[in-house]
Parts: sequence; C-alpha cells; structure tokens
Amino acid sequence: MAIRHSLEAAGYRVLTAKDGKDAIDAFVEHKDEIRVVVTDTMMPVMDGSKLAMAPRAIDPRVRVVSSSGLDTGAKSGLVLEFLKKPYENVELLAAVRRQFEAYVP
Amino acid sequence: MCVRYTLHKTDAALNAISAALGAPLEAPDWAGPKFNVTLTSTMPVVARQAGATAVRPMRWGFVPFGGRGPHPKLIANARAETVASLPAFKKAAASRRCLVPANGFYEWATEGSTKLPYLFTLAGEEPFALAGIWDPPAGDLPETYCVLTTEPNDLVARVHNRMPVILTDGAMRRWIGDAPLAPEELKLLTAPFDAARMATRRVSRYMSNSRNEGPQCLAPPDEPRPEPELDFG
Repeated sequence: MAIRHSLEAAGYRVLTAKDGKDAIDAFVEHKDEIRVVVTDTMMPVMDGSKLAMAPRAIDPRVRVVSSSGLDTGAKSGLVLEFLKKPYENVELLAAVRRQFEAYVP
Repeated sequence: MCVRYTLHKTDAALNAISAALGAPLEAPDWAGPKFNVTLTSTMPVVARQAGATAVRPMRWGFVPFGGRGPHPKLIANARAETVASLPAFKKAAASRRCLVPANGFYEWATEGSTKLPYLFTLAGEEPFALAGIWDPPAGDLPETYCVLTTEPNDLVARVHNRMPVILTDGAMRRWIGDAPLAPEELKLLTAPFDAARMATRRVSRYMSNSRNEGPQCLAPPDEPRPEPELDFG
C-alpha cells in the first residue's frame, strides 16, 4: 500500500492486485491503459519473473520495474529496471518515471 | 489484442475445419471444452507440416527464436500488418501458418470505472478458426502459437481497437500451410471479418478471473441488486 500511496501522490493512476495471477487478470482488463508494471520477484501464487512475462506477452510496449531483497533478481529482457531492497521512495519514483517516459505508444 | 477466447464446442470447431480442409480431423481426448482460454494454455491447433495436416497440442504464447532462454519472451498476438516483415514472425508467417479452433473471443468495454466483458461470436454461434502462426519446440519449450490481430470491424470497434483474424470455410484452406503467401493474399485473408456475420453480448465478470472455467463464463451478467425497499412507517 505504501508503494500505491507514493505513486498516487506523484500523480500516477494505480491498480493493485493481491497476487501475481490477479495482477495479470487486472492487466488483461486494463491492457489499453497500463504503461508500467511494478512487481516483486517474491510474490504469492505467481512469482515476479512470471508476472513480468505476461504483460509483455500481451503488450510488448509495457515497461516492467521489479524489486527484490535477493541478488538473484536483476534486469533481463523482461524486467527493464531492477530495484534492490531496501530502496528509498525517491528511487522507486525515479525508476517508474524513467520507464513511464520510455514507453512508446 | 486478443487475450482470451473460448473453445467449448471442440468437436464442432474441428468438424468445420475438417470440412473446409477436406481432411479428417478428430478432437483428441485431451482437448476438453475450455471456456476461458488464457495465455500459456495448451490448446488444440491445426497445423500442416510436410504435407500432413493434424491437430496438435500447442501452448499459447509464441516464443520467437531470439526470445528463447531462461526467461522466454512470450508473444500472444502478431499484427497482421507486420507479421510478414518483422524478424520475430517472418519465418513462421511464411511457412508455419495454423488454424486455432474457437467458438468465440472475449473483450472488455470500459463503462465508467468498470470493465465489462463481452463475448464475440459468429452469428448462430458458427464455429471458426483464429489465424495463427506457430513455432517448433526448442529445449524445454513445447510447440507454441500466437493469434493474428487486425483492424477491428464496426462491431468490435465499439469496445476495442484490434480484433483477431477470423477465418471460415475457404479462407481456412487458403490460410493454413507451409509455403509463403503472396502479399495480396495475406492482406485479403487478414482483413477484418464481416461485422454483419458476427454477434456480441455481455457476459458475467466471472470470466474475467483467469482461475474461473466452465459454462458460467458464458452466463449473462449478474443483474444489479434491487435497491432495498425501506419502510419508515
């Protein structure tokens, strides 16, 4: 919820989901409006690397920011920006802003 | 984009393809009705290879050669306008065009802040095929496919800016194959399907949840609950 509040305070419209599977369902419904997906590599039901795969399978333009406390998470062809936990709020906002601006309609 | 479809009458869909191709095709035992087909589902797909036409289990989520690796890049759809020229699809568009049996597809309309799912079918619920391309297995990856999309017709344009390429009868026969199509033929086959031959209706939000499966996916939407009658007498 803290991430949601930070992003909303910065002016973004935010959709949240309780796990990876619900996140993909929300993405499918809102696929024309979503520009950036923020995820965690450790999530219930479906881990973040799989969650990163689905939105870009549906819309390759979508940007994915992932975070983890482990070093195993990292940038890949799917995850375009990686945040190592713990990170500062300002780092999250900067990452989302970079990816939001990199989105090509 | 086309990211959910239904194949709940597998026999009827395969019979229609079989009749169009003049080739006997039977629904395999593993291909039961699926009312809510999602990305990564393994589905029956009709493909031709070395002259033999067969129903094969393929996974939805095309993985082009350059997208293989520990985190494969899946692709749900390919745009008909660029499928023959983009490196990711070029080879498959030339030599691995397949038919994806279907009875309908879903799309969501925005009403206020709510997303309401609609089912699109052919009039009379005639079965059809979605135009697809497929990729052979590689390493741990099985055969995979994606669905072509095109400009929407007037019916689909009410809710979305793309629609899947729909094929019936002779168009199925012209699409499937392992030899390149002439650009004009590709354009003709991937044109938006005639809206007058299609139907649509709202369905329950039950199908929006990818965990849900079964006939309830096609059920009409739940009516809003009536306002309670208050008695202050």
